[in-house]
Amino acid sequence: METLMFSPGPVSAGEPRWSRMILLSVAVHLAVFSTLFLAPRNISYRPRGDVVYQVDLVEMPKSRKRSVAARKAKGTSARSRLHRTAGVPASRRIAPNASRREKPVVIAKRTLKRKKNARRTSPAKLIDRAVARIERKVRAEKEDPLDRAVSKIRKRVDEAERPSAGATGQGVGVSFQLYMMRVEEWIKANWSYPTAMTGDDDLEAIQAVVLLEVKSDGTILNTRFLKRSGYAIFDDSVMKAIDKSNPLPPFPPGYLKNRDEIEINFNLSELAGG
Amino acid sequence: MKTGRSANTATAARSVQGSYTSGVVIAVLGLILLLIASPATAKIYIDINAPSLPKLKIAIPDFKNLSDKGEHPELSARLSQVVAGDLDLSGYFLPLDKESYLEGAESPLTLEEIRFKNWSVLGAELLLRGAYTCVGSRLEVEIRLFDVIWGRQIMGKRVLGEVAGYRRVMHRVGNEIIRKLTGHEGIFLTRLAFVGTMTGHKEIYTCDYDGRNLKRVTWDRSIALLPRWSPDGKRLLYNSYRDGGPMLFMRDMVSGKVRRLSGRKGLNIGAAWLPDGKRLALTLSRRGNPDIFLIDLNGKILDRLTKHWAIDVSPTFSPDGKKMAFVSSRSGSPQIYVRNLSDGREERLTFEGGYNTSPAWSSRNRIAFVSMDGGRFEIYAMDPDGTGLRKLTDGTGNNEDPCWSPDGRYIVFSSNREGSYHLYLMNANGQNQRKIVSLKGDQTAPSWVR
Repeated sequence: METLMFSPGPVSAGEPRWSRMILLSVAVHLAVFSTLFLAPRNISYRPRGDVVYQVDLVEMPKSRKRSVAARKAKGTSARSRLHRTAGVPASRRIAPNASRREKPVVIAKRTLKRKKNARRTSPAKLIDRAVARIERKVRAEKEDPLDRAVSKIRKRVDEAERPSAGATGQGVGVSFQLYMMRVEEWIKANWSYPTAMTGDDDLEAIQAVVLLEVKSDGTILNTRFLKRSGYAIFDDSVMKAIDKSNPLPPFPPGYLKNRDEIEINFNLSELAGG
Repeated sequence: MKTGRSANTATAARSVQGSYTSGVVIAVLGLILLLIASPATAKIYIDINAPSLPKLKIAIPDFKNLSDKGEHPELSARLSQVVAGDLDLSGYFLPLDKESYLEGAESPLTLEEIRFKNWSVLGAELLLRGAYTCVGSRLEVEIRLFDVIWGRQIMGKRVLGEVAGYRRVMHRVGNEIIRKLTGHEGIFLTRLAFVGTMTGHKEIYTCDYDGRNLKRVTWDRSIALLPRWSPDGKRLLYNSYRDGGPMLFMRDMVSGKVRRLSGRKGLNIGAAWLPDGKRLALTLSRRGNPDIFLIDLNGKILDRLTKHWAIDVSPTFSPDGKKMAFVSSRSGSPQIYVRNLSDGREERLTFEGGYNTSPAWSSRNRIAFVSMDGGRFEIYAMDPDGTGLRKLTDGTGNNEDPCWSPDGRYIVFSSNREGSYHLYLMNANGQNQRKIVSLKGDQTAPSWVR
């Protein structure tokens, strides 16, 4: 019965079945490779203020989920405080899992589905797998596997001691916060704007948001306005400040990304209400 | 039967397999889309809440003398000095110290030749290069303003004038720079009138906005008070006791003729122009109690603006002329009120402090006034509805007589922070307070005209 059911198929309709298989194969390959290329960009974080997340790399798979969820919650509140919610991707605005479970069944279903998807397609895991594969290859080709492993562990321990927001995307370390402060000071020192030109009423309202693309050595690769102030002199002063600040301080040691984006909000709130 | 069944099952299986395959394809495509549409790269967020320098640094080297025989070499430094002084007083710029310049008057004038590095290394954001040519008494000044950071020319201008009037020529240049950079008119060609006591009597004087070009207007050897320019700057009102009591006089600033506008019994004080320049408000006390009246330029009473048993003085008008702010003692202490001239409704604006006087309504719709604060007079500003109150002076001596610049971006006032009363200039928000008139005796009660 079983043979009767399945054996005639391939024989009678051999050609179309093959093309379908090829299509499937192409699709799967496409998916795997696009995952490999796109996945690193998928890690996002929002270092803010005084919150420091410590990363325990030994428990990486578990702690990741936890810290990401925590960070999402924190990040969301910080962002809403700063009226930046508009620019936040939908996925980052989702409430933590706990609150979702209390909701009706439909949402619970969606959660399950998402989890399933996440298991199957988690870009981070795919990267891990890809990295592991590459490492295996390299190890086989070159160095002594033991040396390689030791140096790798040493590197990871270093990172754990100086938790960076680099490619691990786990949180913000002290060195990274110091880096942000240095960047802020550096650009501020280069920012001149005749504040007397701005009326009292506008002191609180005026602001320009600029997005910088920065290389690990601090070189600013690209600058663009996410929001203009509407005052040509103000916008001009902001662009000049950035121009004068190029290059920024290099990324702190242990920062794994070789380029990153910095969003800067220039405003005069310090002078308002004085 | 068997064949038929197996055919059916095969079709069903095929369709099951087909839907499975297409399901996988959809899932995979969905995954790809998800990855592509996934949140962009990680970001670092930084807030910068104030510039480190609230001004623009500008380098203004001495001007190059292009005159055939090198006439008037002294102008080389003077011309740059005048425009540097203007830009400094504007509160927007910080002219750099000439001593620090790596190049002088002979440095290049054109975009192609200028070595911007030599200026950016000093921290300059802007560079003003100028040259002048003197032919007889004629003076021609050419200036170029450069953006040092981006190495480009912002403006170029040629101005003609008299050698003797070089300050005026440079004030025009300064105004052009302000207009180019900010979009609004500069104040560098405006004039002030004030009361000075250097002769021992209170007399009226006029000067340029920066305190230069001083001229005496009255020679009454009596008491002259409260000068008020007409909006067009052609006439000047003031009070004088030269004929006995306080009376209102008007001087034609072109012909120099003086006319008594109001010499009624009692007080004739504190005149204020309406924005049309054809009518004025004045406090009269001919029936005993001081009230505010509207008169024309012949001194004829047109209307009575306040009618109250209390003292009503110091009128000032909104830019559209529809409202009048004034000081009244109707609550027991001097406070500022506003009256809607069309329906006569009056509203009290100041509630803090027991002594609020000298209101001045700006062309940008703010009201500056003087308030007694901790035993001293300080200058405040508020919106015409009494909100947006801001203290502009703080802590040193008395600060009185606020008067707005015609463009409403600056306030000139008198202060005795250094002993005697002198005139000071500040931006509308109280920043950049600078002494501009410092003569013997006291200088008070400024009035400002374009």
